[in-house]
Amino acid sequence: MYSLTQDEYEKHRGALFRHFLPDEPGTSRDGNRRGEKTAAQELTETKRKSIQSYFNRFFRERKGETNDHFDLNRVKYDDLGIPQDAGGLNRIRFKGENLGIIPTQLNHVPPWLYRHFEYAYHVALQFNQHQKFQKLQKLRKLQKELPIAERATEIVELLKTNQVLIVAGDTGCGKSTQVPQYLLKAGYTGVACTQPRRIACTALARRVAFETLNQYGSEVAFQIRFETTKSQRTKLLFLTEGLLLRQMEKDSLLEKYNVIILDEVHERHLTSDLLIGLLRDLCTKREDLKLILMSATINLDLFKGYFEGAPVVQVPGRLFPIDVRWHPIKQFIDQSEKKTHKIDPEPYLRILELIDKQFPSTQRGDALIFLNGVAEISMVAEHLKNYAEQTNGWIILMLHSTLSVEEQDKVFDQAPQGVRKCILSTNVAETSVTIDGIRFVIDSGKVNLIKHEPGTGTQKLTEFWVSKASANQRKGRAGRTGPGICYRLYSQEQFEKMEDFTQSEINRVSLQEMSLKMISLNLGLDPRTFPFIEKPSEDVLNEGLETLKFQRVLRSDRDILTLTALGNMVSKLPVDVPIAKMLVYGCVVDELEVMLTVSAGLSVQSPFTNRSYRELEIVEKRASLTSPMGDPFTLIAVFREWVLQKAFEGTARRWTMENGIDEHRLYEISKLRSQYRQILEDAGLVEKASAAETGEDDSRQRRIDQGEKRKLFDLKRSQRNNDRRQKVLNANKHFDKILEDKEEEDLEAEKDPLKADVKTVEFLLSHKQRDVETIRKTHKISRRTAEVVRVIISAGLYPNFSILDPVNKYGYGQEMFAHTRLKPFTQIHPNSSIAQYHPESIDPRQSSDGFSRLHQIPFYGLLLETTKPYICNVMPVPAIYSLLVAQKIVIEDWKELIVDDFLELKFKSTEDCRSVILDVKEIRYELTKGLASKLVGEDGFSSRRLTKYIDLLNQSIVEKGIKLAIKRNVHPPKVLTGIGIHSPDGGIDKEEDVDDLVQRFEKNQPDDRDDVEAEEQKVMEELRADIMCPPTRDMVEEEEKMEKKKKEVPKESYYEKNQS
Amino acid sequence: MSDEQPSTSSSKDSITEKSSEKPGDEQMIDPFIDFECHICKMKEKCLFGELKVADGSYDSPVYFMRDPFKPPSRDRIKKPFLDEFLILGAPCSVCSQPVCMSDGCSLFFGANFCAPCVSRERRRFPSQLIRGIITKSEAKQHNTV
Repeated sequence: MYSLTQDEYEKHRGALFRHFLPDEPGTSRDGNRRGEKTAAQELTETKRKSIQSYFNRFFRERKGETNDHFDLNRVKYDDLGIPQDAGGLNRIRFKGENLGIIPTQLNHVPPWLYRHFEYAYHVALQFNQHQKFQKLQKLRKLQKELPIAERATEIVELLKTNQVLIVAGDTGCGKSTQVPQYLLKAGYTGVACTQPRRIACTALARRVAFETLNQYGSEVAFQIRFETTKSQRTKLLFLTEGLLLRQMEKDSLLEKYNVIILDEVHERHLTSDLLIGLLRDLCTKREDLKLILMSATINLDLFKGYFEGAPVVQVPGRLFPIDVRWHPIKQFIDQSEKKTHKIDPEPYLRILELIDKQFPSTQRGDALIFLNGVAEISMVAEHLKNYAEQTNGWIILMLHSTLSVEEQDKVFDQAPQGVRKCILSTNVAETSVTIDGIRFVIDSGKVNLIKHEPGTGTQKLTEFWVSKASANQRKGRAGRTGPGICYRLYSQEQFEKMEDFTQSEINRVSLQEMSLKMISLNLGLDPRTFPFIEKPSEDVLNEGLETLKFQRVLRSDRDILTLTALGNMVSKLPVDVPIAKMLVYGCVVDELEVMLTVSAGLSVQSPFTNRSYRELEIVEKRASLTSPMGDPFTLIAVFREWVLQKAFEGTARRWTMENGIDEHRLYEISKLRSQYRQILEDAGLVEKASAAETGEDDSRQRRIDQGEKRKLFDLKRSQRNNDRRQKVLNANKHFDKILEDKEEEDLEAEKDPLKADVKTVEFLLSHKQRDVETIRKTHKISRRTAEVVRVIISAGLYPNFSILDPVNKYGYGQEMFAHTRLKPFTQIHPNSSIAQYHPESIDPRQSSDGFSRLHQIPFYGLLLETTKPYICNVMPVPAIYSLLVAQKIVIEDWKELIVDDFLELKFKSTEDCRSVILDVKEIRYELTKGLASKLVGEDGFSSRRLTKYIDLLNQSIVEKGIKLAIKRNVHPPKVLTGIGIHSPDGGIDKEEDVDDLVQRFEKNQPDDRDDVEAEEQKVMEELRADIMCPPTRDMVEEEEKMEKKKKEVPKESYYEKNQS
Repeated sequence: MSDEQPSTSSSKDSITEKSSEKPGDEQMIDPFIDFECHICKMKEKCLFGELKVADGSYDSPVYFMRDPFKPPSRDRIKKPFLDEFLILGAPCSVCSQPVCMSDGCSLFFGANFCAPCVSRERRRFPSQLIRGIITKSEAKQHNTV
C-alpha cells in the first residue's frame, strides 16, 4: 500500500509540473495582445488541468491511497504479454524515453511520487490522443449517417459506365460535400465543382478539406474572382460558374478537368443554364469527360428530359421535424395602398418575445429572419436591437451581400451561453450560406428580385412573394441541427397561391451579356437557336442583340451574328461591355491609369458604405473628395487619396473609417486594376512593363520583394489557420458594433509597421514606389485630361445617357429627374456625388427661350428601379458631347441637330453649329482611327491630335460660350435606323467604319497612312469648297502656315539665288 | 511549401524508409497505406511504423497520421512531439490484425489486444478491466447478426 498526503503533493507539485510541462520558451502564460493563447500553450494548459484533476480525484475518491507501484520493472507478463498485475502503467501505450528514471534535479522528490506523477502525465497524453481520435471517429460517423452515404459506391460505379449522371437530393443529404469526396477516393484527380456563389466555393472547399483531413494542404482548393488556394497538388477545385465559363473561352474542351460537377443547377442561373447546354455538347466532343449534375429534387424532370438516358441517383434530404406556425400580418393583406409602404418591425419583435416566453434561455437555438431587402433588414434590426438591449437575451446580426466580408463572417460566430443570436438576412441565407444552430426561422415570405424590364432598359428591383420551393427551403433552415420552428408571417392561403418555383434567371434578366459571351466562344453559337434547357423569350433576346449593336460590338449590317473588331476585343476582356470599351478607349488615348480606376470602380460596389450616407459628420467630411464632374471622378479622387495614405502616411485605415469608406472595396479596386491591366497586356493592347520599369532588374529591389513575398505567404497562412477557430460573440455588440474591436485593433496595429496585415503587405508588394508615384501623378487630373477622360467614359457608357428635365430645379434636396431614351422620368440616385454634393453643377440656368451654354446630359452606369427608377454612377457632360459618341446625327438645317432620334440640339447661329460639327467630325474620325490602329496593333497613332480637338471643342463651349437649347423627343424609336451623319442636303456621311479601317490596316499596311492622309486632305478640300462653311482651325492654321511660307519665300529665293 | 508532407519526414528515426517523398520527385513513393480496423471497419489513409518522437515512443508499430486538426509545425528542424500526430490504431499483438484505438475495438494492457482476442482470452485479464470492451463487442456482434 502506497499513500500520499495532500501536503506532500503540494510540496512537490510545482517542481514536477515545471519538469513535465515547462512553458514554451519565449511565451508568457498570458498569451498575446488579444489575450488569446497559442495552440501549444492551450494544449499545455489542458494537460496541466488534466493532471491536477487526476490528483484531486485521487485524494477525494481514494483518500490518497493505492496499491499501484507505478514501476514497470516489477511487472511480470504471461505468454501472451498480458501483465500479471493491474498497475495503471500497463494501460499506457505511449511511454516517455526515461520512464521511471528520476532526473537528478528532482532527487528531492520521493521516487514513488515522481513515478505516480509521471503516470498521471502519461494519462494526460493518452487522453489527448484519445480525444483527437474520437474527433475523427465522430466526423466519420456523421459522414456515414448522411443520406447520400449509402449511395457512394453506386455513384462511383454509375460514373464508370455513364458519361452523365444526375444526383438529386434535398437539403441536408450531403451531396455537395460528399460526392466530390467519393470521386477523390475513386481516384479522380481533375475534379471541378461549380457553385453559383463565391461564398459557397470557399465554404465548401474548407469543409471538404477538413473532412478529407487535408485542411492544411491544397488538395482541395477553391477559385473565385480574386482568390485561389489552388496549387499543383490540387485535385478538387470548387469554382464559380462564371469562372468555368471564362475558362472555356481559352480552353473550349476544358482539358484540365476529367470530371465536372455542376452543383445547384435547379437554381437556374443564367450561367448554369448556359453551362449545362455547353457541357452537354462538350460531352460529345470529349468522351473521357464525366459530367455530374447536382440538383434539388424540385424540378428534376426538366434535367432528366434534357439529358435523356442519364441515370438519376435520388437521395432524400435529411432534416429534423419542423413545426410550421402561421402568423399572418395585416400589412401584407392590404398592401395595395401605396408603393412606399414601410415594413412594420412589430410582428418580428413579437415573435422574439414569443420565443423568449416559450423557451428557457438555457435551451440553445438561434433565430434567422428572412426579409426581402437591405432597407427592411436595417429597419427591423434597429427595432429588435432596442429589445435586445433591454433583455440582454439576443445578439442582433445582419447578413446581406453589401456587407463587408468581416461583417458577414460574424454570423458564424457563437453566441455566449444564455444568449441567442438573431440573424436578419436576405435570401442569401436560403441556399448559399448555411449557419449552424438555427432553431427558429421567421419568414416574411418576401424576396427582392432584379428583373429586366423589356423595352425600357431598366433593371427593376421588385418585391415578390417567394415561391413555394424557396418558402420550404427557408423553413428547412430551422431543422438542420435539431427540431425547429418556422414562423411564417403570412397565411396558409397565401402559401397555396405562391408559384411552385422561382422564375429562372433566363426569363428574368437582360440577355445581352450572355449573348455576347456565346458569340465570342467562337463555337458558332447563335443564342436564338441554341438548345437551352429552357428557351428564353425571343423579344428579350432580340433586345439584347439590339443593345449590342448599339454598343457597336455586334455588326448591324449582317444577318449572321458577327462581332465587330471592337466587339472581338471587348469579348476577350472578361468584363461588361461598357467597362471593356472604356478600357480599350483608355488605351487609345493613353489614359490607361485613370481608366483602370474608373472601370474597376464601376465593377464593384461604391466604396462609400451604406451606413455612412446617414452619418452627417462623415457626409460633410468627405465632401472635398467628391467631384462636380460626377461619380467616376469622385472615385478617382478617393482612390488617389487612399493610395497615398496607404503608401506614405500609413494611416489609411483611420482615413477610410473617418470618411465612411469600406477599405475592402478599395482593395478590390486595386486588385481589379492590376487584373484589368493584365487582361489588356494579354490582349496586346498595352505593352508589358519591362523589367527596368518594375524594378526587377535591381537586385536589391528583388531581394526586398522576395523577403516581402515570404512574409506575405507566412501571414496568409497563419491568418488562414487562425480563421478556423470559431469565435464567441460579445453579448452587448449588435450589428452596428461588431467590428469595433477589430477596428480598434486595426488602428492600434497600423501604428506599428511591423504588424501590417495581409492586405496591406499585399498592397505594398504590388504597388512599388513607382506605381504609387504614377497613380499620384495621373489621378490628379488637369482640365485638359479630364475632358478626354469624360469623352471616353461617355463612349464606354453609350447609349446610356439621359436628358434633364427642363422644368426641374436642380438643387439640394430636390428630386432630380432625368429622361433616358427608353425610360422617361428616372431620377439621379440620391447617393451620387451629383445629387448629394453638386446638384447646381447640372442646372443649366437657361434663359426663357431655353438657351444656355451650360446644358449637360448625364451619362450613367446603371438604371435600377427600386422604389423609384434611379440612374446610378452618374457623369454629366456638356450636351454637345453626345455628338461624339452617338450613332445617328441628323443635321436638319445648320442650326438644329437630332441625335439618335432622341435628343435635339438647337444652336443660335449656323456658324456655331458648323464649327462644332467640324470639330466633332474630327474627333470622331481620330477616335475611330485610334481605335482601329489599336485593334490591329499598329503603334503609329498618336492621341495628340485627338486631345487637341477635344480641347478645342471644349474651349468653344467654355470660352466662346456657344449657347444652345435642348429638347427631348418624347417617343424615340426603339430601333435606330439609318446610322450615320445626315447632312441637310440628304447626304449621309457613314463615316469610316472601324472594321473597314481595321481591314485596310491589315491588308496593305505600308500605304494606309498615305491613304488616310489623302483622305484627310480630301475632307479638308471638300470643306474649303463649301462656302457656307466657316474656316476650320486646321484651315486657319494651314493658311497661317501658307502665309508664313509666303513670307519665307524671299528668304528661300534669296538662298536659292545664292546657290545658283 | 509542402503543407501535407508528414512532419516526420524530417525526423530520421521514425519512418525513414518511407519518407523519401519530396515534392517534385519524378517517382513519388506514396508512403501512405490504407488502414482498416478489422472490427469497426474504420478506414483511413495513414502511415505505419514505429513512432519515436521527442517526448517518447510506442513500443510497437502503430498506424498514425500527422494531426489533421492542427496546422503543421512551422519548425522543420525540431523533432516533432507526440501532439503533432494522431494515432489511429495498431496491430493486435495476438492475431496481428489491424485494430483501431476505439474503446470498443481494442484494449491496451501491456500490449495491444483486439476485442475478439480479449473476449477469447477473457480469463487471463482482470475482469474489471475488460468488462467494458466485452459488453461493447458483444453488443456489436448482436447488432450485426
